[in-house]
Amino acid sequence: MDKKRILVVDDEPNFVRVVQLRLEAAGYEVLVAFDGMQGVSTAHQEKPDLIILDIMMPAMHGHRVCEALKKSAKTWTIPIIYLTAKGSKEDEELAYKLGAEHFLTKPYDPQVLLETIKKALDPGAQLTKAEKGGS
Amino acid sequence: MNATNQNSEFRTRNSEIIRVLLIEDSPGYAEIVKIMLDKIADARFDVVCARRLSEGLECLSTGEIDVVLLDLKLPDSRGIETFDRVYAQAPRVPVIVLTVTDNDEMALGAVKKGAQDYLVKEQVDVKLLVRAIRYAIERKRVEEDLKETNIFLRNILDSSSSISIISNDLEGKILFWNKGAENMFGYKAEEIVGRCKADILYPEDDEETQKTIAGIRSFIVSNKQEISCEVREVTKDGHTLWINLTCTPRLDEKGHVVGILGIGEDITVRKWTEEAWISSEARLRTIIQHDVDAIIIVDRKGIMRFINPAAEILFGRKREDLEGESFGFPVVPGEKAEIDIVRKGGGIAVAEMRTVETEWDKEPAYLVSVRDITDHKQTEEQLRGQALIFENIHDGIIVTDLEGNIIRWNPAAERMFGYYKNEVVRKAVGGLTTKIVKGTLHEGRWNGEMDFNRKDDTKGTCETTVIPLRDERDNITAVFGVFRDITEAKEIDRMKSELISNVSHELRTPLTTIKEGITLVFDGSLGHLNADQEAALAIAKQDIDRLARLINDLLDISKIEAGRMELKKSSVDISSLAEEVLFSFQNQAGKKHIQLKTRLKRTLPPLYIDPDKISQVLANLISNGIKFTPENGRITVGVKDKGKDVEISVADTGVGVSQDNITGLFDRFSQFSRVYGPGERGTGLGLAISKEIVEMHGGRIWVESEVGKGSTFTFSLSRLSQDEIFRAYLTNGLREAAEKNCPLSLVVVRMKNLEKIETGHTREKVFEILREIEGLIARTLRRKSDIVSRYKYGEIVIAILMDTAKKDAQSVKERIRQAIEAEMQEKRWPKDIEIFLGVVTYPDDVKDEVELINKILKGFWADEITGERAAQGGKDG
Repeated sequence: MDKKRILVVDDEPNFVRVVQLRLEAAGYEVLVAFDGMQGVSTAHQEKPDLIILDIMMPAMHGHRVCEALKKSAKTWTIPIIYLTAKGSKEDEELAYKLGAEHFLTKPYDPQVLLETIKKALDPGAQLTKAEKGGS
Repeated sequence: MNATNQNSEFRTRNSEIIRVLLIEDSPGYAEIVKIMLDKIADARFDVVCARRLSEGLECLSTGEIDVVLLDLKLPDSRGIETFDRVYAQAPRVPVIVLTVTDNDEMALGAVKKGAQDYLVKEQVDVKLLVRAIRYAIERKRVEEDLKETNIFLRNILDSSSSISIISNDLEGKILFWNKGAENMFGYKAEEIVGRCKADILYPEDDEETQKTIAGIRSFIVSNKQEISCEVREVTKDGHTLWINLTCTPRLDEKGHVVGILGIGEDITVRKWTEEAWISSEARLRTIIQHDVDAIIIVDRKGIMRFINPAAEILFGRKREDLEGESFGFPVVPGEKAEIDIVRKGGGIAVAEMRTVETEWDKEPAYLVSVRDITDHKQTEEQLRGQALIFENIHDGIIVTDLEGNIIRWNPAAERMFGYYKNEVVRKAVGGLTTKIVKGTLHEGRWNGEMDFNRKDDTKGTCETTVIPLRDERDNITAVFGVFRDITEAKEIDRMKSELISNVSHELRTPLTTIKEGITLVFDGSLGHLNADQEAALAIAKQDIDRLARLINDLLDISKIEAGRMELKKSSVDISSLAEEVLFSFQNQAGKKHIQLKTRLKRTLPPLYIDPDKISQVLANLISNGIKFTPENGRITVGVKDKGKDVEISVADTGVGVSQDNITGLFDRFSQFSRVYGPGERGTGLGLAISKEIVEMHGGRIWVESEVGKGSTFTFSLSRLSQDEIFRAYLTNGLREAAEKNCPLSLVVVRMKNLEKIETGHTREKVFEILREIEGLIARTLRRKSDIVSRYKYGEIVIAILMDTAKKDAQSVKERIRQAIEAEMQEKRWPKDIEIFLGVVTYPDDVKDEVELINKILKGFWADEITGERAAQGGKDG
């Protein structure tokens, strides 16, 4: 089976780099983007299997990235996991409202991150999603 | 705004040494208080300790003490008597009572009797203590000042026996009547106060006096200035008196527009002499000889020709010495003048001089009458002095009547609130005054911080002390409030928390990277490590974790301080939660061979709490327990049903906390409390945060401990019923929906024929199914803001969907229905169980909570549109 491809969108290069190492060690292929705009365009071109998204970023705010991706016919099926230091209740609620699958805060527990990714990539979860989209 | 001035004022005061007398028999607690007060950087406290009341009283009699911290239970005195004796010894020193429980009637009694405050010992922290001490001193000072002023004024008023002082309202009703007035008019205060002056004192035939009085009243109301005139009044035994009446708008209690203060002098004889001198000089001599006023006849050259006995007394010299001498004061007929007379024994008397033309020994002369008005003057000065303080003090001062209508409003209040006096006087201004009046009348005193809106709609915060004002007859007639603007200080506080919050966020990002980098290497994801490399990284990892915890704790504390920590409450089975948290420590405990045990109560209904926050409290207590428990020890987590509350305890067999250290345990950075064992260091914030979280839930946290044997930390949580929890969700949800103007939908799931089913199966079976349904729904819902709850003693399962329109709720209902059907089939639920699902949406179907509840309980199920039967799974297969 092909390696699953994960796009990491975050403006902290060091952070992106360690997440990349972690995900590659877990057997994923990793694409990176360092601001919101880049994130959206990479998502459109590359159609990754999953997106990890920060909130506070230059060029385009995380919530706006999420909104744009979830509204686009090309990208709306890609599960999005927020991974941010800005973990307020409002942000979390907004993230779910915009259609994000999960909301994690920094500093993250690698185990939890990997499991969350697995769950989001799980076809069962996809089914619920498709069903929800249909209703 | 003059907040800057106030700050500097505050600082000056802070730098003074505050002498604290601590009367407390536990040396340990005394030590804690000392340590706490030593920690304060911006003020110096000089703490004197007394172990017995007798020692304390001695201290009070000898030393200058600024404030007393008093334990009511002492070896040589117990109960309220302890306070009484301290108060008797030093009535002017503020007292703060220390107590062990939060609901100590004795402590409350002491506060009612004049103690400034009471503090619960275990809850005392540095901030609270210093604040209580400052408030106590400040408040006591204000109270004493006012008391003194009142007594002083009363004395002055009563001592002017030759001057009547009458205070009345605008209708003429007499409110105050001093001894002078009693002497002058023959009426006792008790017979006249509360009656109308005009009916009694003014002669019926004297229209002119009636007019004059009406004129005075309208003059005072419109000009708000002092006015004097001469009026004719009648005494109790029917004599007519001429009174020189000086009327001032009422300054203290009722304000100038609502009352008049009249100061009257009897000028009958003078008046009479003026009118009657011509008729008989001999008679004139007799009269002036006996007049109480000093009468001097001065000829055209200014030489004194005649002196009456009263004048001899006033000047303190004999008639023989004065006659023939120059009078020395300018004499102008028809004019009133104030003159200063040097008394014989020294000191200056203030006198009022009136002159009329007369004839003496057949020659034209002046009749000068002089009256000592020194007392009168003093009263006036006193009133003026008060007015000056009122006008110039930096703190806002507001006086209101008992309905909260503003009577007085000083310039500082104008600056602080932005409203001019005329804009607010006689009005009740918002929550400001209502709050003051209610609190003050109820408690006898009100103080605290208050937010206010200025006229320009900006917001501010002030520190407020309010006390009731009593009138001359000791009835509460008004409320007096001092407001200190602390907006700027609060703003600095807020910026401080924000800074901590921002810095913590900024620290988190690099820390995350460092941690992940090291973890990647450490767990071998990037290749194999040798033992030394692994050990070195393990150390680094441990301290990174510690740093991360510290940052999290700082963030929590700053959130709590800024009031930004919010609880996300839901129904939680506390026993499962406690168990879950405890077992997450299995590894950590295993390393030290510590046994983890539970003593849970499984049958408790769920609590309405924030599971994450309560987990944090449990985790903190358990990790502390492990930290301080030596190898082969034991940690026991217990859940106890205490009726109204549930108590959750974490007991260890560790080193314990000594009694002396228990009190400061829940303070920030209080790491002195337990002896360190091996293992990781804490942040010193855990217990402080735990305490805040428990208190936000309305509970309490405390510790029992014995050195060497172990500690038990216990916290209580309120046990709301399931129905109460649901109603709480609903009320909050509806309020939020109304505020945000968005819909709120409920998916309601119930068994149609519950009564019938129950006869066939056990109630337990039915409730097991209901629980399964609740779990199913919880798994079906996606958003964190969606809530599953139970209602009607658990018979109805309800999903509350915030911000969800009817259409969307219908599709959620479909998903739930499918999930239930699948479960029915799989678990083979009894065949006669029929499940109905319905959707109700606010504001489409119902307009308030009452209607919503009605819809859930009645009508709803007969309702053709909403009730929809779930397919009976087991039926066909």
